[in-house]
Amino acid sequence: MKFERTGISTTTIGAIAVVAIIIVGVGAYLAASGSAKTTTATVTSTQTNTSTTTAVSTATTTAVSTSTATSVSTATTTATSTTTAVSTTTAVSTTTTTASTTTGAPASLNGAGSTLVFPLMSSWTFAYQQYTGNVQVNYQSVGSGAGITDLTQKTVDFGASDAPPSATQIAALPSPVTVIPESASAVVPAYNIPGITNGVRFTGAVLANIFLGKVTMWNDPSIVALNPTLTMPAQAINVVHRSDSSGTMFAFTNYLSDSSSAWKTGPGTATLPNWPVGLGCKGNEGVAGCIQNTPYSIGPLEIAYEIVNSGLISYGSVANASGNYVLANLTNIASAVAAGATGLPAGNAPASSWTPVSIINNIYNYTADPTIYPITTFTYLVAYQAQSSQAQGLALVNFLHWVVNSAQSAGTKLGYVPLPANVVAIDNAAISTITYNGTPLYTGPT
Amino acid sequence: MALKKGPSGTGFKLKGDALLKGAVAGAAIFVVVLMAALAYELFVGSGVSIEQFGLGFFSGTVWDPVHNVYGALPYIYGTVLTSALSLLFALPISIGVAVFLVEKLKTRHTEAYLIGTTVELLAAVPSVIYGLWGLFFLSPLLKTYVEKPLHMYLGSVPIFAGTPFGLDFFTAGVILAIMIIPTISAVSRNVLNAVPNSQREAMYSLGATDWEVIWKGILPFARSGLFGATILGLGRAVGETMAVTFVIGNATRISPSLFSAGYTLASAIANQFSESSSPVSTAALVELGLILFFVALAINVFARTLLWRMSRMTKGRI
Repeated sequence: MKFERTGISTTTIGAIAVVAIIIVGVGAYLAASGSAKTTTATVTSTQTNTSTTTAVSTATTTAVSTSTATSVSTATTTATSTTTAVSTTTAVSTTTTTASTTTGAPASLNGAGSTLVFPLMSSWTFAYQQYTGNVQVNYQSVGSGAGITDLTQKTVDFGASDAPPSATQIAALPSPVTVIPESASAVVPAYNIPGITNGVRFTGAVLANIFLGKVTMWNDPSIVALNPTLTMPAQAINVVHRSDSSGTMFAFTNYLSDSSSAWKTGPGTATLPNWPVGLGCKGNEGVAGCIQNTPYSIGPLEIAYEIVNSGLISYGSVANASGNYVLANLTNIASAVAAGATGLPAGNAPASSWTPVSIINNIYNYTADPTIYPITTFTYLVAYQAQSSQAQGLALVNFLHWVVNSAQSAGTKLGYVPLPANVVAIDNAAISTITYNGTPLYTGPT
Repeated sequence: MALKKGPSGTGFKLKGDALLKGAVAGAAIFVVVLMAALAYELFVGSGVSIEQFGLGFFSGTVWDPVHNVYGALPYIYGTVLTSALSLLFALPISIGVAVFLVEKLKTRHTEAYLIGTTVELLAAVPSVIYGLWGLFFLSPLLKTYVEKPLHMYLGSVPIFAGTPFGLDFFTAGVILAIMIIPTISAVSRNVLNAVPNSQREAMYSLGATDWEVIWKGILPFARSGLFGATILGLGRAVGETMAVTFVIGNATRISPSLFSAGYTLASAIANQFSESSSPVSTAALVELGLILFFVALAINVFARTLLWRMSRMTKGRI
């Protein structure tokens, strides 16, 4: 071959060529996914959906122009104009071409974060897609911290976190964010005591001692004193907790920190504290499974799990500030939210003012309402204030507005409590701070 | 066009051959580059943690993301203990399977094929299925029929102390053993097949029984190969994540008891990575990954070297 005269063998040329092609291909793909925020539109299915063909045809032509010119995509440009396979209405599309960034209605929003709100978020995304007909919201329950990390790296449009963003997280975010509480939930102490199916009472201090390992037997005097009508067995307490990080645990440890200075200075409030004792099980289902399989065990479980699987695992009542032992249900959780949603930052306040917000702290000593359940928490949606794409930003604010105003009642059968009116007002104000090029995006009815 | 000289003096007659050689060489080089890039990224990612904790990382026993104190000893201990346990349980079974298939089923090809394939199919089951099966089925079974009796009768021995809950080092060891049986037995089978027949014939001619032929003639000869197979299985056990995470109890502690919950390097990374928000905690987890990477690499290199030496000795392919 001609190039052999240069002294480089054919073999070497072939090797270099293969490596170069692979590197260029990978690099081009990364550049494409970074700049145009489209997943590569390798169209494989050819299903046509007549109701959206008009939207699709404009979308495909513009989508082609924004996707990068890897050697593969140029070959498929002619193909995309004939196959209308941009499935905007199928719920299982994993490769969706987002429509052009400047014209037409967007097809998808991406969110990630808390596992606690995952059941609620799934029902919301499904309902929203039916409500709008063409907006698909994809939510991945990767954990509160990972959701904020994804938002920081701009791989999602919004993050969902059970804990308000911490100072470290806010510092890592490249631009200011709005924090929008979107639902409330509660944590209950679930237990498995053979022979006792309900009626066990706890206080925060006793729970803290159990989870610190200071109280080790079910018939410990402190537990017996709270439960005079029950015969507590002389068995060791088997503590169960989450092995992975979780907003449920953040809320629970927040409550334990308020109840016990030993807990506060020890493991502290965290999504993944250094649990002194106990078995770690993965996920809420893991904790539930471990509790069911281990007699004489106790573990924190979110109320949503209990409501959906009612009667499966017993849970105890917890004493509130008025001294009442409250067995969590939607009513007393709602009362707790109403009582504890005070002193919240205004809608246009910076994210850092949300960092110390905690319903649990607010109601820890609250006696005006004796019915409230003390271990209640918000979950928050976090999104950038200055959106980089008008279409995506518009879709986002519309979704957020719908979630906060129209979708709250949908959560009750899943075990989530609707937001009270004052929080809705704050959220609406917060949503109106989301802008594109300086102008607020939300223009619909308030 | 001049003919290029290929190996042993044969020339490439077609240009395509040279290009093909180049292409596959490129693919191989790409894999090597990938490994190097992986190691490099692990180093870079754990930089913050290496600076901050240095060698104390390996001896620290507290892992507290809230107070930013990280010590990997409980995880290293858990990994070592579960891997050792899994070898203990898997070795007799795997070597037994290999010996049975090679020595006893030499002529019965159908049975050998069926049993051999079934054992190898154990490797086809996804790790997470083992985890689920272990959590819901094996763990209660072991707790009731194995751990509780052991604790009841031998509870004074430190390794059997502590109330068994089923989610502990012991169950993790059993699950890992089931997962590495196919690896060890498949490689052992090849090793034993490579033992020359002259060994067997010599032993028989000296009047040895079947058992003596195997135990004194074949196994010592194949020692290094079997050892290599074992180490290969160990390499797999060290890195198993999902199966172990489900059944090990995920508690950061060092305890001599087999019935205590524990943690391994891989489970720690799997459980904690998604929520690690501070740079130090992420770096600490990446450092755990670095440790795991080098441990697994070292184990596999060692195993492969042993097997290669065995294959040179017997002049058979292993």
